Amino acid sequence: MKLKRATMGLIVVSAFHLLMCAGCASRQVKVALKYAPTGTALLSNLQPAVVSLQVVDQRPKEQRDNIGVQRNTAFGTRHAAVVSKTREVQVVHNALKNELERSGHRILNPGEGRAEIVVSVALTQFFFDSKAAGDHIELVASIRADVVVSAGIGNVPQVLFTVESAYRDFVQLGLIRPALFGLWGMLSSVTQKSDIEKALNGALAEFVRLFCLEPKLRQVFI
Amino acid sequence: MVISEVTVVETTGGNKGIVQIFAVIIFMVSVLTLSGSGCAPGPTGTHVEANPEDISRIKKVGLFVKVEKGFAVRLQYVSNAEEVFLANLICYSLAARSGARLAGASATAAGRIGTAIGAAAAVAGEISPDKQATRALSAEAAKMNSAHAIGSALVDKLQNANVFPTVAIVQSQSRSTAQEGGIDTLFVLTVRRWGLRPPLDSKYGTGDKAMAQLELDMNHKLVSSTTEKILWERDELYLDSKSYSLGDFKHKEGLLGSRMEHLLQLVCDRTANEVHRMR
Repeated sequence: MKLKRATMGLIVVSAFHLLMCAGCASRQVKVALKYAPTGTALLSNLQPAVVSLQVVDQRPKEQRDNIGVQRNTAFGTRHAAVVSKTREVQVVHNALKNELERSGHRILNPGEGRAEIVVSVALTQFFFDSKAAGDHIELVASIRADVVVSAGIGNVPQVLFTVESAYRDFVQLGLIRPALFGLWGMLSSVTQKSDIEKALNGALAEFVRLFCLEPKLRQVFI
Repeated sequence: MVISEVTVVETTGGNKGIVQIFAVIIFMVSVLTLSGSGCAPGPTGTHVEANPEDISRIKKVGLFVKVEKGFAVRLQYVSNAEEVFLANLICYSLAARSGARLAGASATAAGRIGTAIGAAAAVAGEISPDKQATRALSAEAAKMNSAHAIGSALVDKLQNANVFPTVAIVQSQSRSTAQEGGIDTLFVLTVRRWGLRPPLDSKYGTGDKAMAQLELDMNHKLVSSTTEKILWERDELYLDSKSYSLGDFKHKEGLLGSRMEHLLQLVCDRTANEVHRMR
């Protein structure tokens, strides 16, 4: 009798929680994104230049509202949408500006002076997701953009290339909560906000690195 | 939380409760042990930055390729073995909690249910869509699914891109073998995993209509064959920018191979960019 009551209770609680999870599309987790430069400046060995930097958003409309999915770590159901506290184009602009300035180049403000080099970045992807992998959760974030660089008289378009970064990391599945709270613990375990931030900031750092190492960009600066 | 469980057991289960206390403790210990037992690679990125002097001294490179995990389709959130792992975890968890709350009989019942579901999950794992898709694509993947095939495809690309002065494939990481062949540096490429995954911005699909993109998870290492010092090390996840349906990969002959060629070209291009910056 007691077993029957306990089992029924568990089923009711689980069903309620699953219903709660099913309606999580409106939930949001807000992440803080910032470029953290490491090591030597990546473009410091090039001739210093005055640069105009523009970043525009060309992602599909459905990807502009959120930049990822926070999932239940055990079953992979969507728990909340990931949104950035700062607009993604601004995040990418700030990151590239930071690295260019660190390397000794001057970035013009909008409407200021004449640039020797014009860098136009069209953001086409900025996304995070996670996936179960054994007793770990795999975190993957990716940033992709098409870049046009112009230089010389009239800033004639010179080179066109695509930069695509992917960041991957693993975190422990987090079994303490399931161990203490059983099935309910599993249902309520979600990807941590700090892990999502780490993955997206990792992808941002990789994006800046790949952008700066692109030979087509470097040849314009020389 | 555990202490409150113990109190309930002792007041309702008598001697059997003591057995349940041990069951809960054993369960907790096994779960905590399991949680620390996994071995996952570190994050992508550069782990050892190169010294330009070391890189400029490189004359002849021996390319050594290792494949840790071969081709696999991973389109479901929880795939293959993981299903069994999670099912067992749920069942043991249920068994432990039910057992702690009720008498021994209930724990036994929950344990049996757990075992039955675990066995069912094991069977389900065998017939999981991912496993079936991996089998269906195995003939197509076989052309690229070995260290030799990947090494052969890469060596030409590295030569053509003029990444290193001379590149030759080597069959082992042995220092003596490398020195006999006049190789001063080993370029060790470890394929951690390659296969199909859902594109980042898509929902997890089912059947042949599920969208998939090729992924290649790789560790790159330049090692001096004289000092065995790691000159440069980097982990990178290569994602194909184009995605296709699983049905396309199954039915369009050569698609998987051509996308893998594209990713290997990316490996070569990015290695070239890194090496040229170091010089």
